[in-house]
Amino acid sequence: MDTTFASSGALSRAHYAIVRQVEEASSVQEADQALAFEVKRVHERLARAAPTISKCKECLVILLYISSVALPGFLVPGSFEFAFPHALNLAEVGRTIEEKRIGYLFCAELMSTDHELRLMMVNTLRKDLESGSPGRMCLALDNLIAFANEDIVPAVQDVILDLISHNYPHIRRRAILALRSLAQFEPTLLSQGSETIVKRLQDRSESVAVSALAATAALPTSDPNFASARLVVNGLFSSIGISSSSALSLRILQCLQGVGLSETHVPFALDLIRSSACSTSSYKPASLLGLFRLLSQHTPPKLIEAEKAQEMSAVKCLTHLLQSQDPNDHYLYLACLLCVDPAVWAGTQEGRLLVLEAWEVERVMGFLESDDDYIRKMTLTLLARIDPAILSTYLTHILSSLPASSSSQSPATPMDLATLNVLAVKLFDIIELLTTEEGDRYAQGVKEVLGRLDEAQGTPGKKKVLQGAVEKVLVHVRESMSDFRISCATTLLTYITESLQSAAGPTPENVPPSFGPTFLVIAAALAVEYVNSVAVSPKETVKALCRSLKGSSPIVQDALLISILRLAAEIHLEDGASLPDEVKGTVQEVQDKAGTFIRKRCAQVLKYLSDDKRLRSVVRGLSSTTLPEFVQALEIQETKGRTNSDIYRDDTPSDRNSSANARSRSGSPNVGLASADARNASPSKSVNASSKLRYAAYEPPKPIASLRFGSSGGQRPSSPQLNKVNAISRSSSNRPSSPRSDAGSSSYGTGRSEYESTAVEAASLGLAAVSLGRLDSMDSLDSRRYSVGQGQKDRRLKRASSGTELVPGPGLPKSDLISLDSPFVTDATIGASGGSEGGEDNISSDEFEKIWNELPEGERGSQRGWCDGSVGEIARRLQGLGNGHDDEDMRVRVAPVDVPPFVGELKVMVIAGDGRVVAVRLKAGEEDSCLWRLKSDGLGKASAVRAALV
Amino acid sequence: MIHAVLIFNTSGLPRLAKFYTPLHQSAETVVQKIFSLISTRPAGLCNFLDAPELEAFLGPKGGDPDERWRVVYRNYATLYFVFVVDSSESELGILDLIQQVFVESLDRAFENVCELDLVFHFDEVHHILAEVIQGGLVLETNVDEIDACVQQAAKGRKESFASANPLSLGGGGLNPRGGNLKTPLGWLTGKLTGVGAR
Repeated sequence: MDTTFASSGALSRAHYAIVRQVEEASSVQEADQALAFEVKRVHERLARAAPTISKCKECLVILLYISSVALPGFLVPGSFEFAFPHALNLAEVGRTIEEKRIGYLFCAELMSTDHELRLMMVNTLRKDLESGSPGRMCLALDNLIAFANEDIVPAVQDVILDLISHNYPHIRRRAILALRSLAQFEPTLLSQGSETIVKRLQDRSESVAVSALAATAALPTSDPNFASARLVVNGLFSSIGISSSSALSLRILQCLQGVGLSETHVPFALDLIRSSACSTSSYKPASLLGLFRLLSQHTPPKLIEAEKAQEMSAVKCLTHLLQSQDPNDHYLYLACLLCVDPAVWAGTQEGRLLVLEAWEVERVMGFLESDDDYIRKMTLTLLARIDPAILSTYLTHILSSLPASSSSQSPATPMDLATLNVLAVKLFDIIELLTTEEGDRYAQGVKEVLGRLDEAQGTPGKKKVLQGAVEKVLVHVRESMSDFRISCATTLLTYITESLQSAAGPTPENVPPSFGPTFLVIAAALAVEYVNSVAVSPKETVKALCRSLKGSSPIVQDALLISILRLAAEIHLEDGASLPDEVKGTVQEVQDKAGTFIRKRCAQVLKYLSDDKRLRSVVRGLSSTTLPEFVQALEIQETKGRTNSDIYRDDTPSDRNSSANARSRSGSPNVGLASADARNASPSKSVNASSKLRYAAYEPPKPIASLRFGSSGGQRPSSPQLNKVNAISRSSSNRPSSPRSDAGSSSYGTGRSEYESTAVEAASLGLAAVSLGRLDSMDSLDSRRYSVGQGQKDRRLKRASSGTELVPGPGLPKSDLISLDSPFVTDATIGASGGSEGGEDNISSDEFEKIWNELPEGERGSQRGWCDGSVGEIARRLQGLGNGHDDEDMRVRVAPVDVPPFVGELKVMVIAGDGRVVAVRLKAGEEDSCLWRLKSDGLGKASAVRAALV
Repeated sequence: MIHAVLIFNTSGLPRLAKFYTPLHQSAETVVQKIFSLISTRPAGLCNFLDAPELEAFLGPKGGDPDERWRVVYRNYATLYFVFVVDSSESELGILDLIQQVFVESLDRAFENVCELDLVFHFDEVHHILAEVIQGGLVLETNVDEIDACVQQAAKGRKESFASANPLSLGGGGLNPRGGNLKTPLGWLTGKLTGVGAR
């Protein structure tokens, strides 16, 4: 940074110094330390008695700078809390508009919308509004637009209604926007001012009219002035030109999108479009798109009629955009075409011919090969709207043009992996459009496409995993609706299990599996992720995956082995049944012949398969259902025996550097603010210390899911295992959470979306096979790459909290006490405590599992069925057995939904007075239905319980 | 409506992040996500991006199933100017707004604006932005009007700087490096300044 203080324009030397320190820092740690130190220094400065206004302003500017350059998760929430009173004070007593602006800006940027101190601003804003000084009034109105909330409405509404008629246009336009903002909380406010707003539409100041148009677009159709507003806006429309650069023209078009273009003005809109074709150098692209969006409000017959009357075609007027080399023009062309129903221009309606010429169609089809994904997807969407059969033909054409191979010989010119990956993404884009909302058809498409892509790879034995395809499919499945996800996963796994049945008999050695490596990796990932949802038996899936194990490449074997292990855990947990006999044998065989990495993996799998308890504990510790998360959990279990010094190895300088580098790029792991200057202090220890005094009087609560997985503001227990999870995440470059942020507040820890985590996961699943390809490289496959997004945890938490809505977790009374006392009380906790009413007792999951496994199978002991009513309702019914059964004393005990075993199911234990038990598992179905499964020891009270269920 | 205005450099470091709707995740995370979306796009592609991924950060766009977050961006030298909008806003209008109004206003205020101007004067940048956009709606597009408002505030700032730094050469306030020929930012020529790699 080659700028001196004098020439920098910095507010002060302190401001210059911190900017220079940070911008010239040679490492992220150095910058973080400087930021942490500066926050501390500013805190001290502000804590001194009565800092002057200018000092206060300087400090706030520095803090704003720090907040803007801090990396995600570096600053714990509330880091700037100490400065809020000073910011409020500056906004109140600032001598100049400049000073007041800094105060307001600080609050706007750093104070949360529900912060209690926001109330303190109401009076300041009101005073500024009534000051009579245009500068202060404008500033107050600016902040009112940003700060609008229900508390402020009564204080300012009268003033605002007056100000929309103020003499000063800068105030008028801001007052209109402020009114619009306040109307979100008090809808009647807009109707009170609507008459004036309609007048302002024709204000002599253009900027006021622009604001009035924005407010008009928000007017409800029920407003008495809506009709007149629509009339005025349509009138204004007739005054605009296609070449007009004024913001007013664009705003009129946008407003008409809301209030509607009257039919009588359609010819004028067509005229404007035609004039754009005549003056291709001076038209405004935004106006052109706006006009087409207005046309989309009218039906095809009306548009056809209007075009006939005008003897023109709106779409034909866009031809010049096709001839352009500017990609933005191509975007504009496609966006305009997507606005108009194909019946108007594509020749899909009888009597209406295609308006495009052959070269234009060719050019549009050429966009299918565009490097720009957005342009390509728009083209696909356009073609799908015209006729989905075009896409099917296009798909068939691409697939048939791929080099084919028979089972015995490879294609003459196999395609390289990079090309195939790009092609896979394109093909799946098409399949996504062709199979919207149909998971089974999507799965079918995936199978077919991957089959062809595998063929195109060449020699059957050397097929590679297509990382792009894995990522694309997993992300799409994850982003889809629940039904789609389950249907897709079920269909894919059914393909595998069916292939097992059709090819019954021993698997010959070294024969490649019937599915390609990419398909197997996807299936393995989906089998793990949707293990609790799919209708395919885990046992059958394990058998099928096991069959594919021997002939697969190491990279696929790795995914299959992990998947087999996870499904084995499910078989134990679900049915208490044993694993198919051939599994261990097959894994053993693979181990004998494999290289180093797979040998280790096989050993790991065999170890866990023979240690049922340990495997269950790993599954219990999962915070998400994904395959990478499971791998991570296994690794954590492996490191359990290590010492703390080993675990926190990332505190060594070299590891810090690698972690920091990862942060700077992937921006993931979080380091708490204080950790920058007090690294040796364990973050989890510091959190525990803070809670120790508060809760010392109580016995530590047993963990329940809502607290275990830490929602926003939630606390984590400091169990060794979880500490290790944290330790691993700190050392992992992909994981956006640190012990500190997890414990203190997870709002920064939620820094990874489902999409992102899936992308990482898919990348991990691709297992770098594309680039590695060699078995020896597998040794470098660091388990730390298997990371998982916090979003998944959040989703799980959400599910858990909804699942435990009526049901208390274990150790409820103590949890409840702490929950009530804790400032970090969560919804899930509240839900759980709420469920304590009604005399239900609780049971530990282990106890339930033990009893469940001990209860006999068979017709008399085990029953299952569907019943109407949500899980909550059924739980209440069962609870009624406990409360209302007068002939005999019955107790109902409940284990939470989200704690393994049987995650996602409510576990209810009905205990009769004679000690006989009936165990019930309830799983939520669709539309308030519930799947129940019941086990009892002989006759017991099963019939009474079953009566409550049916 | 405009939901976010972001400026970050080619390393992904945010220089301005203004959100007009509540976020579901931290602002820094959103900036990083958007940076990852944009920085991977090679030159020569259109300036628009359909970004369903942002639903996880900004919340789902309700109503119309076709309704999605759209990203409009422009790259100038070391900086990306990014707007996140919904379908009520014209993405092509926003593209014009970035270049013809926002960047032009910055350029007038700072005279050949550079990344360091945004670093040392981000409060001024916020002010300029506030003159252009309020509450996610475009307030003013007349660059002369915006410039007049900003200059008025800059005058006060300059006086304040001079009084706080009596030995300075009077280069405070806006246009901080007018006399320093060693650090031209190369806004249009694409040269990098001496800003660190963070």
